[in-house]
Amino acid sequence: MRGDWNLIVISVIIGVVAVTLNFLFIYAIFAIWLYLLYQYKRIKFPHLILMIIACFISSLYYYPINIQDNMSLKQNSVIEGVILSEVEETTTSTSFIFQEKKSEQKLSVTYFKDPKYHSDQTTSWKTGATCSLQGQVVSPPISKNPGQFNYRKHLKKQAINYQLTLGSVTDLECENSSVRQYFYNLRKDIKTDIETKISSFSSAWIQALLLGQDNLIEDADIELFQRWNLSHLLAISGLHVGLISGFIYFIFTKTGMLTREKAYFVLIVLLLIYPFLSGGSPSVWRAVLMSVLGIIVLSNNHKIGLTDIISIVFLLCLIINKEIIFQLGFQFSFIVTLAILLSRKFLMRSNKKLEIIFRISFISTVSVLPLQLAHFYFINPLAILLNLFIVPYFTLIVMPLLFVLFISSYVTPFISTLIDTSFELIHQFVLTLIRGIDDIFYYPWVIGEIPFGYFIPYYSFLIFLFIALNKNKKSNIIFPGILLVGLMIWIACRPYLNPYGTVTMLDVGQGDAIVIELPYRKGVVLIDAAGTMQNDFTTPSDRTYKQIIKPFLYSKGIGKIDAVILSHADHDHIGSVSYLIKEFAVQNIITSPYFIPPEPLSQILEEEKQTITAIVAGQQVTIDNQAFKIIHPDSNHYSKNDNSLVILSNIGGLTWLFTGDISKEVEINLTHLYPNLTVDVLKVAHHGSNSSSVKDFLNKVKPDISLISVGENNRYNHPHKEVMDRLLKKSNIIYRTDLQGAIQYTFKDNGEQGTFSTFLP
Amino acid sequence: MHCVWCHMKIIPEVEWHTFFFPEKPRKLCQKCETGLEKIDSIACEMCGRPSTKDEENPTICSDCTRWQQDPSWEDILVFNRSVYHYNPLLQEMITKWKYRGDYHICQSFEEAVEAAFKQYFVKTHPDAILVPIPLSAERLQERAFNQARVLADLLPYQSANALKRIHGEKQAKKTRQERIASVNPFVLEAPIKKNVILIDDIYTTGTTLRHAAKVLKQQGCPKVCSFTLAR
Repeated sequence: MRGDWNLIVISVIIGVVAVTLNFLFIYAIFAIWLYLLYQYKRIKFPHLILMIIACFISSLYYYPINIQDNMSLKQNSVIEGVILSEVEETTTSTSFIFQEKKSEQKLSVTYFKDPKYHSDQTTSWKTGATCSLQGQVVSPPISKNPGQFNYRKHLKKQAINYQLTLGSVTDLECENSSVRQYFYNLRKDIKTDIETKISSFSSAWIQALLLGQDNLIEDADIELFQRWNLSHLLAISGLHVGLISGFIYFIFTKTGMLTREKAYFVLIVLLLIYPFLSGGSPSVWRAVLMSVLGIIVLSNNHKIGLTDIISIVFLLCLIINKEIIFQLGFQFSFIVTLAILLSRKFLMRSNKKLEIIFRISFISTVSVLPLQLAHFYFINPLAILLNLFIVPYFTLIVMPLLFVLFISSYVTPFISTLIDTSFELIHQFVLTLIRGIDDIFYYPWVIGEIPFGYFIPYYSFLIFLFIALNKNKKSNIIFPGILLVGLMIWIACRPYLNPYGTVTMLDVGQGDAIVIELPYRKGVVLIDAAGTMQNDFTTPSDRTYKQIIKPFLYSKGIGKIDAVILSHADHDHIGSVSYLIKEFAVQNIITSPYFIPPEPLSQILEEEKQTITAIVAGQQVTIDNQAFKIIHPDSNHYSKNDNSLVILSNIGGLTWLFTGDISKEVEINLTHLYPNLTVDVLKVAHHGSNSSSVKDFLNKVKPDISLISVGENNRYNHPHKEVMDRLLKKSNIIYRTDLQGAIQYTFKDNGEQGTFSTFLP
Repeated sequence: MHCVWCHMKIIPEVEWHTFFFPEKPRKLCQKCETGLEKIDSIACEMCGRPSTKDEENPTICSDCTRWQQDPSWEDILVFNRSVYHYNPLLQEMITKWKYRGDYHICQSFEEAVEAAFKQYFVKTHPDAILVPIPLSAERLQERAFNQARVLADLLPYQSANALKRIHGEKQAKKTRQERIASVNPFVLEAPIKKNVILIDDIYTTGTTLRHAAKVLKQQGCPKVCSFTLAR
């Protein structure tokens, strides 16, 4: 079996893919593959049988079972069960995964801390504790917009089907705990220790890089690392585990504390504890298990190839945690490690350090590119270059400094302050440098959603390219290289070849955000970009932008917006603009002359040197032959809502009227000014409030289709019942974002009418 | 799996091209494998002498010119091709193989022999017959197997035991002059009318092969070439 474990892993993956994606044809490919392997004497008969068994077992193991909704815990009844995961505490909340005893259903439980009320009750909440809890069990929220992260699916991948929010600490009573809690306590103690001994800046980085908790690092820096594909440095992986075990081994053997054999043994024990101390993410487990196996093999002179080790670790991970295979971190970690392992001939051929790092960086990037695109919709091509310098910086400076700082804070406090200060100095400087680079050189290539079908040609070409790179045959490199670049260009060009355009009214909750995409990507226009508030209802939040607007635009491969038309200056129409103009190339912002941007938007508009055009009734905005006629306001109405831009446009064979938040006075006024105004599609004013959409107006414009952009369970009770009644009489169809999610109209460029679709069925 | 020669464990190195489709199991470890030098480029078109420089166009070397100038040996052996350089490692391996009777060592050569034969002969000589250089009856008794025969059995062509050897001194103990001048030790048992590829383990001066070729040609064989493990 030596040297063939990868074949078992491939068999297992085939089994998993076949049943989870319902690709039964893969079994046929599997059979052909086995036949060829056996025919050409690459495997012996027992291997053949073993591979079939592996595929069969994994198919059974992963066969999707529709879990019956038989949870006997519908309403506020008492649920008995066990805390499965670590109890994670942040400043505002406590959360963990809970398993009900009878049905073995898993629940994601969260408790939002009451800032006024401190309680020690939560200290009895421990991993492994047996508890009884009370609360409303609900299904996790689903995504309601294209491109949006699907939290329900995310939890389902971890076999969690329900969630529960604790109303008060008394709703959960626990006793006992498991051994794992001991390690979590240890970790907590270490954390408090570090925080008292070391400056907050350095301790945040120690916690992230040694203990796997990055919640003390500023969000802006985490996002910065994400933009530059540096996140792998923040997640503990092979690099960190390798370095840390290297340090420990060095200390033990060089000081003469332990013999080499004993040092190996101690190291294995420490390594196996480490995942519990560091949060146990998939990459930690992968790295730790690989190191442990590696050490066992090394110390016994048992020779096993690296691919066998990674294969065995892969199988071990699946056995320990079945759902781990669906986690992005696990997939990234294994694919990148495997790709680097298999390319070692190509890596070893160079003897220049920088070139080797470049090659590793290249291999890591291209080997997970489709996954990266499928989840984040963009790539940052210059990230490879930055990695070239930041990876060695972390390896040679950050990790050793932090490790020594950590040890010395316990041993020699004086030296530790010295290291602390110097680390802060160096690292702040480097972070400032990266931020500067980000300001100047951040050019994301927004490619958009990549259909799963493209994975197959991509990985086929890539494997041929890697084979050629290993063999160093120039002629063989060019062909797959060209195919690969061609494929990427084709994927990136798809929007420009697409004859369909869309109008999408996103479900941004209580607010408006409408995206108009012209056929062949000849233009992208936004009408309003709603924002939302934090839980206190007063501080602006970027949630709507980050979770809905940006993912939607990115998933469509949109990085440039020709015009953002802002109806009026309310937060539920413009709250995302300040974030939008920072990350997208917005050519022009169009407003009425009575539009006064609030702080801090006005300041950001100035900083970004954003072009703003004021426009009044009678004028029009034209983006590649697509005209948006402004029919209101013609004068100042001294009310934000009544100063809303009203836009009339003929899109995809239909006449559309976008009304912002105008009131009935403006509506009536419009019927006088434009007595012949009739429309096919009406964006109902002011989220369906009864202050608008009066009978006379509806009678006049006769909307065939009405669109209402309104939040689920909003506190204004929009849309009002009387408005719905009026609309029902006049309109054939009413679409509502609160009930149906994003509403999308898809049309062809030939002027024929298109079709409406809703994100939720 | 252990290395046939040094008995170290062989760890197959999985790379991109072997990840989905592994190679056939190796007989030699990486170190021994690289110790055997395959003949990639040829200096002499006739005897298949390996060239040391890449750019050289194959010509006829001085040894072969001498053979060709002698009318009695001219064109007796059309050409010879070999698999490996006869370097110290190979010398050691062949010695162990044929003199000490370690039969399994020939596994280490299998793949290279098949590949080289395919490269040199399969297309150009589609229906030749293989004739392994025989051992004398006494020698065969002593060694239990004929190394040339073993090599011939690896190849996809039919072989014929057309020759018989009269017992004499070992060639390896003679000088070039002695070898060329010595009496032809071969006797033809059955004449062959087809092209013949002689198979032997080593080509040193080419005398043995030419002696064998001469016997074959005298009885009407149209063309004789040869294929050896080492050169």
